[in-house]
Amino acid sequence: MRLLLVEDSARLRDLLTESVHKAGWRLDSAATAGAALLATQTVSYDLALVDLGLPDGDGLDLIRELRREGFTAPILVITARGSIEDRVAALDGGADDYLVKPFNHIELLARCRALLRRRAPHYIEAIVVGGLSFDPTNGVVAAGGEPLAVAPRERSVLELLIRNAGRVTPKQLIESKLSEFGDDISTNAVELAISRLRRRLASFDLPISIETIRGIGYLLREKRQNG
Amino acid sequence: MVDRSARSPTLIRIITLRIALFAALAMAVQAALVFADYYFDNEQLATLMIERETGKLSKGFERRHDEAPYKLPHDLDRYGVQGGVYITRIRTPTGQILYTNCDARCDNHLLPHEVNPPDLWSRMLSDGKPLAVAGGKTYEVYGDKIFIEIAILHDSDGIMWAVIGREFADHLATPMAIMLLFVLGGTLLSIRQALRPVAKAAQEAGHLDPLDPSHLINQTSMPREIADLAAAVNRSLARIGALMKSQRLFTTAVAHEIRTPLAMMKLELGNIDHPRARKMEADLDALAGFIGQITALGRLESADRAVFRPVDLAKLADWVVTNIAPLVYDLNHTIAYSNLGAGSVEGHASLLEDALRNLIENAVKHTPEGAAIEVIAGPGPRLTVRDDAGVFDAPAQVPFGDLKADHMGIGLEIVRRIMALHKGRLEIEVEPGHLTAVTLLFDQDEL
Repeated sequence: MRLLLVEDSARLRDLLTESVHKAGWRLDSAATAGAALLATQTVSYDLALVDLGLPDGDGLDLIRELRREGFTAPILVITARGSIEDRVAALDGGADDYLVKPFNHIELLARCRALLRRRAPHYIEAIVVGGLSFDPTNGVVAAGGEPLAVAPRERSVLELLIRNAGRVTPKQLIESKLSEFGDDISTNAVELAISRLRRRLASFDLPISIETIRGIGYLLREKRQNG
Repeated sequence: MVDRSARSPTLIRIITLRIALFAALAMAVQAALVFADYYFDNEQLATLMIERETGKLSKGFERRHDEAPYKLPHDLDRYGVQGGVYITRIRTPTGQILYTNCDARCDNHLLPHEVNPPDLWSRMLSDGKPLAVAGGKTYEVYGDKIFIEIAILHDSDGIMWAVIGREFADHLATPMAIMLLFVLGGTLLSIRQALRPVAKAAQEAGHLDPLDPSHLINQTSMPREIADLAAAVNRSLARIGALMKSQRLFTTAVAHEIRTPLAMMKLELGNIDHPRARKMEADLDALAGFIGQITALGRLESADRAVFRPVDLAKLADWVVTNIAPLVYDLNHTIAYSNLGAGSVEGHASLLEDALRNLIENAVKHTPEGAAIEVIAGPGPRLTVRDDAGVFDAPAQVPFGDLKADHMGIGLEIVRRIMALHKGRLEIEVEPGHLTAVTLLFDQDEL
């Protein structure tokens, strides 16, 4: 995987380069929008990380320009601007995700992985959350290193939760996933599937939990060490 | 609230009072001059007294064809007294006496019978006031000449003062009252018309929204002086707008400049595997949260109502709860959301998101672990954040102003300002030990 980082702060470029290298990916960095445009014309990137505040222009204009030039790889915006308008403007302008400074390595890399999976289905890195893992290549869900035997319906729900780990998975999305199995889904099909998954995972004593956000959806989260 | 009783008087009232005051002064001066003119001119005063009294006596000839040729009018009883101080003699040129209350004093004070008197004559009988005068006037009654002569030996009925009073009324009070009426009426009408654009401008200024740069006082059809004032007000508003804009830019720029070093620190700390690094990360997150609040305040200070758009409150609450839920669970609380039909309001989505997020963060920070937080959209244009801890030791329905900054810090101040901007309010319901419910209430009709 080869990533492009567009960030004017040299220190932040160094730190992000270190993080990305640790994940096993290559990273080219550009300090200006002009340098970024030049880089994308010569190298094919799998993902771009773009700061909105650049010395030679607005990062949003760069994103629009990249999309006009035919740049199809996902773009993750990393910025200090966190308002809803800024996020909507970036997403409408061609970005795929948005991360507000300050953030940590784990969150940054998780977002990168999610975008890379969307970009390249053949991207085969397993997703791991608190001892629970999902391998996209064979669809195997493992708990504590052992394959987890669950029905296809629950497995697809668990896959969805793992892919969105740390973020709320809307109930509608889970219902939509369950409806792919063809049967009419009952009103409490989602609750039933979640209940079964919780019971199934309880025996492994993993540092994870599936929280019900009533009225919204479900949240698969890694429990804090002290929590 | 403005105390109307303490307000300055209107311009119309001031001018009316001034005109009335100066008119009264002018009348007083004029009255003094008129009084002096008549009072010290004995001859003129005597002539006027003779004319007044003979004129009144001449009324005794009216409608008396078939009766006695003369009858003393009712209001002239002073000439009916024999031997009184007011004497008269009414005669024809042939010497026929038609009426008299004279005794021997007639011969002393009036002209002899054989003298054909002038049309008007008078003479002083003594010096000093009140005047003692004698005189007469010739009248033509039904084609015949009649001589009416009188003598006022002692003016006990105040004829002199009545004459002066009549002159006052005729030459001073009546013309000045008419003049005052026209001057005052005309002046007030002109002022009212001139002030009409001022009243209109004041009304417009009262409805000006300093947060909407398109709001200005319309100067069309204003007199030049008032248009200059309106232009000055508009320039002041523009300066305020520019100041607010630069303040916003400064605040947000500072906040943004700080976020990048914070990001570096957080990434660096992530590389340090030590519990103290985790504590520093938590402190750094708190600082980042504070920076977020400062940015929100900066946005709020210069918020522009012109960019208000319909905001679906249920969607907004759904978005905020979805995003904040991981943080809430990380801090060992729970969160739920209910949509009871909140509808939409005209507003600034980003600011409303800030307001709701602040309330949820406050509920998380100020409740013990395990508290259940619920966000309720509706019914109607309202958003409520409720927790089951009820940690506020305060009576139910706490007025907003009574809550100290210590309780919720800058966050609640931001919420208060956001709601004021949206013409809404904040309601807090507390049942100590049971629940705290904070509601964002919009005093707008649902869209």
